[in-house]
Formats: sequence, C-alpha cells, structure tokens
Amino acid sequence: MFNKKICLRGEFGVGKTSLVRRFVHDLFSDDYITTLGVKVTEKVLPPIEKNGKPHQYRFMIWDIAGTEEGRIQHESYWTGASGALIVADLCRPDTFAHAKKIMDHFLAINPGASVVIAGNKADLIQRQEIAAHEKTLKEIAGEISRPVFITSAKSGLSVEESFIGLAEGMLA
Amino acid sequence: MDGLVSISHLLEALKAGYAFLDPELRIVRSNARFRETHPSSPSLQDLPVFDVLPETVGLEEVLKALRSGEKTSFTLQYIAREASPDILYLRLVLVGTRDPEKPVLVVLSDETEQARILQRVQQQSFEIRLMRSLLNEKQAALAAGLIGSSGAMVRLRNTIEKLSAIPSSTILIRGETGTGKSLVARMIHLSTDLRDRPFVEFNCAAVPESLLESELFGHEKGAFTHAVSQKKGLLEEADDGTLFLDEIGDIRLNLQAKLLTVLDSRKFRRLGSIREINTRFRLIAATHRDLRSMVKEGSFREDLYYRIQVITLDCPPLRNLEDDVIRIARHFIQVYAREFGKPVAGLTPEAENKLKGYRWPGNVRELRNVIERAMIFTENPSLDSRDIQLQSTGEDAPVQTVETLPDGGLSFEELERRLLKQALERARGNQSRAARLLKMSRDTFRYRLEKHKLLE
Repeated sequence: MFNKKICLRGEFGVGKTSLVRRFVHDLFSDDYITTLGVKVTEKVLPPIEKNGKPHQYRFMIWDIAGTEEGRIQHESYWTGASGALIVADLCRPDTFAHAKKIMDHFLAINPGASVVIAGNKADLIQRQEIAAHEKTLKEIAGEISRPVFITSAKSGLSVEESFIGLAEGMLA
Repeated sequence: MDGLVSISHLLEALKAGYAFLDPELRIVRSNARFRETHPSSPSLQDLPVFDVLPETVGLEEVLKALRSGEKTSFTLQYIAREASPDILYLRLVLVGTRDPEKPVLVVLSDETEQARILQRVQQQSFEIRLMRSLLNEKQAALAAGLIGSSGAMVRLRNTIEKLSAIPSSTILIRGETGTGKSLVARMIHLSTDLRDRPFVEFNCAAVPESLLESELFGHEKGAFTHAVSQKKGLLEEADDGTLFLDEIGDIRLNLQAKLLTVLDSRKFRRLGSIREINTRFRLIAATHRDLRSMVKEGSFREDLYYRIQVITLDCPPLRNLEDDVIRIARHFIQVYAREFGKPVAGLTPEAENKLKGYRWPGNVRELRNVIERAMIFTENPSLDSRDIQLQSTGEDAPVQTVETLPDGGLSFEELERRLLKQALERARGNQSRAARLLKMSRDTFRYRLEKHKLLE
C-alpha cells in the first residue's frame, strides 16, 4: 500500500468539497459552505493492475480552499503532492482559464505529479453544452497531455473514475 | 536538554500541543494537548508521525531538510479537523531543533477562533462572487436563447450587442405575440452596466385600466378607497434600472400624457401625494400593435410615440425565420428532455417537415408549447410527426371553431383573415351572402376585406 498526497484545486464554488464527500463518503449536499484552509481525508483505492501486478494506493486527499480568479495561495499546501485533481465548474466557463493557471503552477512545484482535470456540475447543464465545454477543457489539458473527466458530485458521474485516473497517472 | 525544557514550557504556556520526533520520525515525547488531537490513540509513543498526522504524508523531503538543518521550519495554516461539536482549525509548525536525538519538533496550535471569523467573511464574499459569476452566465444563456442563424435573428442579436454600449436610450420593441419581446428586453438590460440594477417588467394589458395608474405611480395611504397602505409604483421600483412596459399600446391617452411627462422631467408624484420623486430609469417599451396607425387614428399620442421609438427593434415572426424553427425546436427538446428525464434525441425528418410547414401564429411561445406537449406524451427516441400536434397544418387549412383561447394564444388578425376567405369561398364570391355567413353587414364585411387586402 502506497500513501500518496493528492490535492484538489480550483476556483471557489466549483465543487471540490462535494467531490471529496461523494468519493469518500458517498454523500452529497446542495449547501455551499466555503472551505477555509485545508481538510485532509483518507481513502483507500481499489487495486490497479499494471504489468500483471496489483498496485494499491491510500490517498491523503487535500481539499484546499478555493482561489479567486486563479490567484495562487498557500503554496505550502501543495508541497510533496503526488497528484492533483484540478476542478472547473461547467456552469462557469470563466473557471476553465483559472484551472489552467492553477494546473501550470502546481506542475511547476511538483513537476512529476499526476494531474487530472474535472469539469464538475454536469448535472446542471445540457448535453450539448457539456460536449462544447469538454472540448475546451480537453484543449487546455491536451497541451500537457492530461486526462479530462466530466463529473457530477451530485449524481456521482465519473467521480471515482477521476480519482482512479489520478492513480493510473502515477503508474504511467 | 535545558533548552528543550524551556521550549516545552514556552509551548505549554502558549497552550500549544507539541511532539518531538526521533531521527526515524517517530514520536518520542509529546504533551497532553498534542495527544488530545488524536483521541483514538491512547499513547502516541513511537508511532511514525505519518500515522499520527496525515498532513505530513508527502512531506518526507521537508522533514529530511529540517533534520539536516537545511531548513529551519515549515508551516501549514488552517488545518481543519472534525471535532465535537464543530470543526477545529489547527496550525501545524515543523521546526528543526539541531538536536541529533530529537531533530524535529512538531507544534500544533488552535486557531479556530480566527478561522471562524475568516470563514464567515470568505463565505459572504464568495457567495456574492458566485452569484455574480452565475448572473454573467445567465446573461450568456439568455443570449443563446435567441437561437438561430437566419438573417433576421442575426440582425436582432447584432443590434442588441450595439445597444449594450448605450445604456440610456429609450427602446421600442415591436413584434407579434410570442416572438420573445420580453426576452429581448431582458437581454438588453443584462448586456449593459444596468445589469446589477432592477429590471421591472410590467404588462400594461394585464391590469384593468383603473389600476394601471396606481401600479405605475404608486400611491399614498388613503389616496383612493382601497389604498389602505402606501405603495411604491413601478417608476420608483425601477429607479436606476430598466422599466419594461409590455403592450404599451394598451395604455389610455390620459395615462400616456402622464408617462410622457415622467420621461421628460424624470419626476413624478405618487397618487395622493404632493411630493415629487426623482427617478432615473431606462424605458424599454414593447407592443404587438401598429403604433403609427394608432397615432393616425388618434388612439396613441404622437409625442409619446416619437419619445419611445428612439431606437426600434423588430422581433421577427417565427414563420420568417427559415430553418431556425428546427433549431429552436431542438433547443426546447433538450430543455424538456432534462426536465422530464426523457432521453429524446431530436426530431424525425417527418416531424421537421411538419414544423417547417406550419405558419406559427403564436410564434416561439406556441412552438414551445407544442414541443412541451409532445415531450410529455412521446414514447419515441425522437419526436415524430404524430407527436407534433398543431392547431392546423398550414395557411389554407380549415380553422376550427375557437371557443376557448388555445394555451399558445393565437393571431386574431390571421383568424379573421381566414374566416373572411372561407366565407367568400363558401358564398362563391358573393359578398352579401358571405357577410351574412359571418353575421355582419355588407359594408363591415367589405371594410374588413379591404383591411386584409382581400378586396379584388
């Protein structure tokens, strides 16, 4: 079992805490409570196979307070992270560009880290819009070859997949 | 060692929890306050710091640098921990001690009080920013609401964009019922700097004439029989924002004069008051009537007409929007698919032809109702022509007797025209007989034929 530090990063209100709650506790609430500082939660992932060998991770998930317009705060929270789930809000496309800024900064501090982008709140927008936003996020992620997941903390859509995607990125 | 004792005393005095780590990063000494943060473990002695403080996972390099003296300290602020009854916020400081046996000191201090104040401030600030951000998105979504790539729709969107730069001009929106005049007014409001100010919408045709004046101007208590309390009028509610008066052609002449005075002077009085109130609002008016003809007939004031038609926007009827009817229909299918939880993908070619062949007297409102009804009852993966229930199938299709107004409304002018044509056909061109079929005099019948340009 490998212990790994994972950071959730993104603008305020994009649903970082809701993603952690869905992934770790399988719960969801519509209430918006701003996260202050950081909250660390543990979750053991199902084993991932590579070259016929199972690898198992225990994620220390750092749910870090949201930023404003991509401003970088609390860099010490990012130190020693093996991966980051960068979250954008599909209802607020202005959070996409900020996600890019945050991702670049995170990788500057942790160059070898695994990064996944999550376009969250898919339950709140229409299918056609999702396709357009997914394309934009993939263009952003494509610059550094990182995967994109369209998620919904409310319905659970691709929440586990995005964390497993992070673990797979660590094995790559 | 004396130095370490002094540090311990200092940390106790500061009500901080602390633990010393050995070179293997195991806890070798800790105080009660430190152990309180880990109630599940009775003793923390010899436990690796990573097992006790999950926040230290990933900090191996930092701890190594502290142990070697390369780094002196490392701080993490506002670490949230679940505690009964509320969340506890801790500050974690790792310090290099230069003591070979206990090279790292871990200090935990409570900063919950400070964090709670900060959290409250941030909560309010972020909620406001979130609402603003969503408002901007709503504006964009509304703009997308004017779907279509026909020339008429593109021109309309371009005009709205140009109007965003001039927030004060009065605007007149013209268009048949159901063409989206209210949506256009709202888009104009949201595209200007007034977007954070009130948008007050009022349908002049929806209120009895006797109440219209008090709705617009407000009233003082006792101003008239039922004025039991003071009430602000719409002119006051819209101060600094936009007042959208739909169906302005339905306002009586005497009230038109009063409205003109307000537009010119920017002042008004509530009914029953002698105090003048200043107001600044942008007026957007809309009508489905021909105001120019009303001016000629004397039922609409010429001076008000010229005052409100500084800029005129025409909302095109759906029948003039070419293939946009299909684009708009697909948009409504998506909306209702989500609302009703039905995975309907779109329209069959037959359904598209049926929609394109219809004249849409009730315009987009009628189209929305037709799609909504179809989405409720369909069991198909795509809406087919049987799902699409129209009032009639084309211009020349027979009109059923209308005893109740359809949900989507109807064009009275169009209905009248069709009845006149049918009566003429049934009477084989004999106008007197056709007039009798419609229970009207020959002169009235001829007047109406002329109005609809049906008189040969």
